[in-house]
Amino acid sequence: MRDVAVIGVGMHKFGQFPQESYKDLGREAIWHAIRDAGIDPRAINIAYLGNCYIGILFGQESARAAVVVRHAGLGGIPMIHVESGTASSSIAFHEAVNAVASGNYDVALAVGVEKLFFPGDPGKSMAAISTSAEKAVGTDMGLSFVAELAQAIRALMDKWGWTQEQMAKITAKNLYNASLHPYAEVHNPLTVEQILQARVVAYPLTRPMSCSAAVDGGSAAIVCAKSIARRFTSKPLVDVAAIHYKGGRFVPPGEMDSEPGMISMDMTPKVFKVCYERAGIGPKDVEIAQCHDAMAPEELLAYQTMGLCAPGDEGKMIDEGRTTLRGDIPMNTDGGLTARGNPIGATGLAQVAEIVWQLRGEAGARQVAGKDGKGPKVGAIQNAGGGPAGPGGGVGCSVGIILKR
Amino acid sequence: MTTEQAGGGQKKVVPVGEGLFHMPESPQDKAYLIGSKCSNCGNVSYPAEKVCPNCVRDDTVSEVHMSGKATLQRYTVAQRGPSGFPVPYIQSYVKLEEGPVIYSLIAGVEQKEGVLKPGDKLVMVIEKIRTDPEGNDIVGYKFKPA
Repeated sequence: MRDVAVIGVGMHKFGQFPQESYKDLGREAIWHAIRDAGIDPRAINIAYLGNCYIGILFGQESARAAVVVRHAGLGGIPMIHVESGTASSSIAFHEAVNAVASGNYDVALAVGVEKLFFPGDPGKSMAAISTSAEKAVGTDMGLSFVAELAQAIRALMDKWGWTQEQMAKITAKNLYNASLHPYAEVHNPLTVEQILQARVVAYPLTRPMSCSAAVDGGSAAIVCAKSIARRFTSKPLVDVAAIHYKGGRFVPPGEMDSEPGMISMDMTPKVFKVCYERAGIGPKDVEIAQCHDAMAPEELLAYQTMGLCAPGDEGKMIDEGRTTLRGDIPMNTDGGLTARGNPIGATGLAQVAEIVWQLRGEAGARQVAGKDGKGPKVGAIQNAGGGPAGPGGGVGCSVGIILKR
Repeated sequence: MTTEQAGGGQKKVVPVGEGLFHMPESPQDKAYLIGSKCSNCGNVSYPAEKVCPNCVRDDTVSEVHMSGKATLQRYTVAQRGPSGFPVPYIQSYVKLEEGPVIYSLIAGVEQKEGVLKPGDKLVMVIEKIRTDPEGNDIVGYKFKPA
């Protein structure tokens, strides 16, 4: 296996862009990454697209990767589409890294695209997103993702003593972080009090604690064999120290009873155990992190499942300010899914882009200092996605990535 | 099953999914959820599986009928939901007597906070879940306090 480096990342701003097509979102993100890498795009040997809803919303099935990648001017290379809910483009990245690590290709592109904003018709994106749950025993029975997570979080509040105020503090932190990010969804920072007083969508979640469904966006990364990276870029090299992905699994009823609320992130501790071993580090070496917080309390869960705190200490992580931009383990410095925005298929590579910018010292007003004050050297990313979730006891997939400067 | 509508048209009563439950055909007939059980490891699944997800065998699983008894594991009150579901309504996970933990709507109580607590004993009922865009009644299982 060869070492792999990330040489370019890019985004199309997340938000509402009714005048732009999904092809435009992809093209802009791809060319942002091409310019960032300083690479001749003809050097790219293979491309992967992460996307969920171009088919159901625009009728473009079966050749989605070819359509998006070709519209960006590339062609004559393998163009492969992958999907797995919000982890779609993390998995596109996983495939791109593996293609290069195997020696089969030298330079790979991963791109994530999603177009979910339909002016005057918010139900359209909600309906598309709801297809990502098992239909007969979930969506058709009235199961909503927000309420499902709210139930899990209530069980965890009982178990670990988490409070709604801690969830509001995380939301306030992430809204502030997103306000400093030029490619994030536009948000006004809110106070903890404002977040607690906002409309309840399903207790303990208030509206600002949950990501929006109607968001457009694009994201991209270019990876290559580390041995040839200096042909393309003079920027600090960011290594893919580890990437690992586990799909959902059957959870026996006994386990479900003992860990009722952990089910949504069941695979994450297993994924990070492998990631830390392969990267040759431990969670204490992580200087900056990204997690899958479609709803803010998932960040509390991630503090534990990524190994960043002892079980039961999640609330202290935010109460003590450890995960803010000035803390010792900043989390979701770009605002995370809740505030940066969560255009499903484009989310994973936006997480990668943020960590790459932070490791290179290019994150502007969001830049964190790292343990030695010279910028972070190790970043960890957690992303979750589709899986056989539902009453059978299945859970979604989890992806872990460790990047190192 | 059909019932007369005011306009002379007939609205249908449609199960939410095939193979999920037995719908009573007479007042004496009893509704039940259709699950499966593995003769090798004893794992019970709902909905029914063809391959045991616990011991991963395809030759040991057969259909079983659930007792309809369950315990509330957790719940919340959704203030927004998929179209066709009037809010607010309770969404819950219940643990069937036979073992599986399943998502369910809750019947027989006001749809608000504080009317239930984890550990409450429940029984299954077949009820209308929602009305589809054509005006048909979509029916499925719910649980209500025992």
